[in-house]
Amino acid sequence: MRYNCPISSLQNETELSGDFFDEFLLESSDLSRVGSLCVEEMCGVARGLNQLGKRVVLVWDLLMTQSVFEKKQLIFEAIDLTLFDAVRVSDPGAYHYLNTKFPNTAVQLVLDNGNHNLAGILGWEKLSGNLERLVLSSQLPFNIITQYCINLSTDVEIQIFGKIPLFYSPRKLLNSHLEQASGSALLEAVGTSEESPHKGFTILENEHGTFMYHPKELSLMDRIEKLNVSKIKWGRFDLRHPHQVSSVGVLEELVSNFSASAYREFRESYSHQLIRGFFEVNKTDAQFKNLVNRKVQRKDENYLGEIAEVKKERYLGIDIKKCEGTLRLGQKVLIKTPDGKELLTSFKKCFDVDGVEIQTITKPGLYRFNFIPKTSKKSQIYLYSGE
Amino acid sequence: MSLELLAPAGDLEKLKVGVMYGADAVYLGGENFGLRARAGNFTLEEIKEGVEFAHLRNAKVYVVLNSFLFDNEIQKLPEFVTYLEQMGVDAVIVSDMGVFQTVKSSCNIDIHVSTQASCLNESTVSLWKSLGAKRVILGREVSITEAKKIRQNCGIEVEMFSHGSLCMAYSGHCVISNYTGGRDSNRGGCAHSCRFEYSLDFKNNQKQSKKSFFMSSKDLNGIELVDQFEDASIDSLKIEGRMKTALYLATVVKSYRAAIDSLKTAEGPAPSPQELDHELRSFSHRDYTAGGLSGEFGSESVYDREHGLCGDYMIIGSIKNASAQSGLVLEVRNGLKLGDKIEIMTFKGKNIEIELDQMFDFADVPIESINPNQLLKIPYIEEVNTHNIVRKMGRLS
Repeated sequence: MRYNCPISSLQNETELSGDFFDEFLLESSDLSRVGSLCVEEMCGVARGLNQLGKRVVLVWDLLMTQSVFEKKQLIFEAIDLTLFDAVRVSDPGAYHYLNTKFPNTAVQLVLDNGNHNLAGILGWEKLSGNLERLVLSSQLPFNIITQYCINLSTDVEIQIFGKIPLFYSPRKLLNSHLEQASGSALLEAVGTSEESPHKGFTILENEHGTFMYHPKELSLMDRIEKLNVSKIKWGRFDLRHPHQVSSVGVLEELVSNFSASAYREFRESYSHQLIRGFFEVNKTDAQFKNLVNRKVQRKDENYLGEIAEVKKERYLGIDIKKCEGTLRLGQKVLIKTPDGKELLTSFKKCFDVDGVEIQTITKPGLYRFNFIPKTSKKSQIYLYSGE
Repeated sequence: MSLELLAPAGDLEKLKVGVMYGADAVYLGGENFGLRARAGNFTLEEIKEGVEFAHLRNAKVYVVLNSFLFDNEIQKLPEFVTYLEQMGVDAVIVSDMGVFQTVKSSCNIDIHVSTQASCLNESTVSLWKSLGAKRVILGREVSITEAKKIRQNCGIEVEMFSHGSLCMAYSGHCVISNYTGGRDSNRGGCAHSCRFEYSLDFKNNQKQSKKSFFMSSKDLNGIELVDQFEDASIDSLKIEGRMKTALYLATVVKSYRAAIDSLKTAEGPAPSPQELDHELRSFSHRDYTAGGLSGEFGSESVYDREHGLCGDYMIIGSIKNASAQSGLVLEVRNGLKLGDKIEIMTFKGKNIEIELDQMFDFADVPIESINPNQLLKIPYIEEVNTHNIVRKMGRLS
C-alpha cells in the first residue's frame, strides 16, 4: 500500500512533504471543498512536489449546480494540467466532463457516499478510458473492499486516518448567526447536540457551503499490517488540522514498524478519540426492522381487509379491500391484531353499508359484522387457508 | 407537453387521495429498495391495485428504488423490477449506479434518476441520458433558470421538487445518522439529526456561543413559480412527503392542480395566488422558502425553531363511502359532536362546509358525538365522493 495526503494550505505543505507520502492531493479554494490554496499557490506547490518526484493530484471535489459548474470549468481549463498526475473529482458531471473533454487526463473518482455494491462501482469504472483510481466509501467494510479489488481493474483508495465527513451543504449555515455577513471567510465552530449525547462536531463554513465532521476521528492504524498486505493500493491520511499534522512522524513510524504499545500510547495522547468506523462491519440497516410494525403490514395471500372500527359488544366495521371470490358467513377467517395476536374465528352476521343483512360478500367496501372480542382497529383479516 | 404533477403515495389510501385530487402521477415505495423504512410501503398486491386505480384515471405510477443497495440486495432486484414491469408500473426511480445497471439489464421499464444521485448540472444529466435514463430529478439546489438550460441542452425529461421538506445537505451527502445513530440515512434510516438543536461554539471568538437549529431547513414552496416551471419546459413537479398526512396530500395536490390548470385554461374562476398560499398554510408545516428555485439558498432558508407552525385546520378523516342510499360514511380521526362545523374538501373547486345536525354510528343509531377511530354516518351530499378528505377549523389540543 502507498499513502497520500491532502495539502490544503501552504502551511501543511511544508510540514507534510517528507518521505512518508508518495502522492499529494492539492486542494485549492476554487475547486475543492475545504482547500485554501489559491490556484497560483497550488500550481507552485505542484511544481515543488514534481521536483521532489512526488505524484501530484489536482482535487476538484465540489458538487456543482450548472452555474457553479460553468465558472469552475473556466478556472479548471486555465490550469496547466501538465503539473498534475491526475485530477480527482466527485461530481458525476465533472467525471463525465473529464472523460469527454480531457480523455488523456488521468482521473480519480471519489465514490464516497453510496456506491456500496460492485455492480455500481463497475458501472462507474467502465465510463472512463483513463480512470486511474476509485476512492471508495468509508462505510464499506474491509472484507467487501478486498473482494471488490479482485474484480476491479482500477486501483482502490480508502481513508486510513483523519476526520470523518458527515455532512456537505451548499448553504452557509454559520454565517446566519453573525451580525455581519462574513463573505467568503472561513468560519469554524464546534457543535453540541442538545437532543442527543453527541458533542464536539467540527463545523466549517466557507464559500462552498457548510461541512460537518464526526467528533471522533478515523484510524485504521491498528489494522495497518493487514491493509499493507491487502489488494487496496492506496491509503489516505486526511491531515489538514494542526493537531493532525504534528502526528505525521508517529503515524509514519507506526506504518513502517507497527507496535501495539506505541499505538496505544499514541491513542491515549491524541487530542481526539479514534474509531475504526465501519472497517469491520456495517450494520446500519439492522434497526430498520424495528421502524415499522410488521404486524400491521398487509400480506397479500388470502388478504381480505382490515378492521376500521371496533364497537365493543356491538359490531366490527370492516373495510373489505380484496374479495376475489365470495366471503360467506361461517367461513373461517384469521384476524391478526397490531400487537401480534392471531384469532381464528368466523363471522355470524353481516350487514352492508346500507344496513341490509347479507350472507355473502362479493365486492370490496365497508361492512358491519358481529362483534368479536380481543380485536382492535387496524387488525388484518385473512381468509383462513388451513395452514 | 404539459407539466406533470407528481404526488407522494405513502400507502394505498394516499395513492387514491393523490390521484383523485388531481395528481398526474404518483410515486411509491415497495417493501424493499426504497428510502423510507418507516413509510407504509406497498406490497406487490397493493402496487398492482394502485397501478390499476391510477391507470384507470390516466395517472402514472413510479416506484422508488432509491436506496443505496448492498450487493446481496442487488441480486434480488431483477425479479422485483420484472414484476413491476409486468404490472404496468410506468417507471422506477433510482439513485445508485448499480441499481441503474441492474434494472437496465433486467427489463425495459423506464428509469428516472433520483435527486440522490447529485443531478445538478448538464454534464451529469448528459451522462445519465447516455446511459439510457428517461428522466432526471434535479437536486433541490438547482434553480429554475439552470433547469431550463439543462432541459433545453440535454433533451431529457426533467423533474423538479416544488413542495415539501428539504434536506439541508446535498441529497445523499449526509451520513450523520449512519455514524451517530447506526442508521443509514441513504438506505431509509435518516434520524433527522438536522432538525436537532445544537449549541455552537465559534472558534476565535467569531461569535458568542449560541443555541440554534442551524441545520434545520424551512419547507419548500414553489407554487408561485408554477408559471416559471412551465416556461422552463420542466416536465414534472414533485411534491415531497410519503410520510405526510392525507390532509397535507389533498391540500397540496389540489392547490398545485389549480395553479397548473390556471396556466392553460380559462375554465371557471381560478383561485387567486393568495388563496392558494393560504391553503398551503392551512395545515401544520414549517415556514416556507422558495429555496434554490429562484437562486441560491440564503440564510433565511434556515428554520431556527423546533416545531412546525400550526395551520388553521386539522384533519377529521376521509370519506369511505358515499351513496344516496346509505349516506356518507366517514372514518373519523379526530372527535366530533353535533353542531361542529366541518369542511369537506372536494376534488376540485370550492369546498363544502356543513354544520353537523345529524350523526349516526355505523349501525345507523343516532349519536351526539363520536371519538377518534370510529365510523360516522351523516346524510348524503351530492357533490361528495369517496376519498374526499374532511377537515375542521381548529387545532389539536
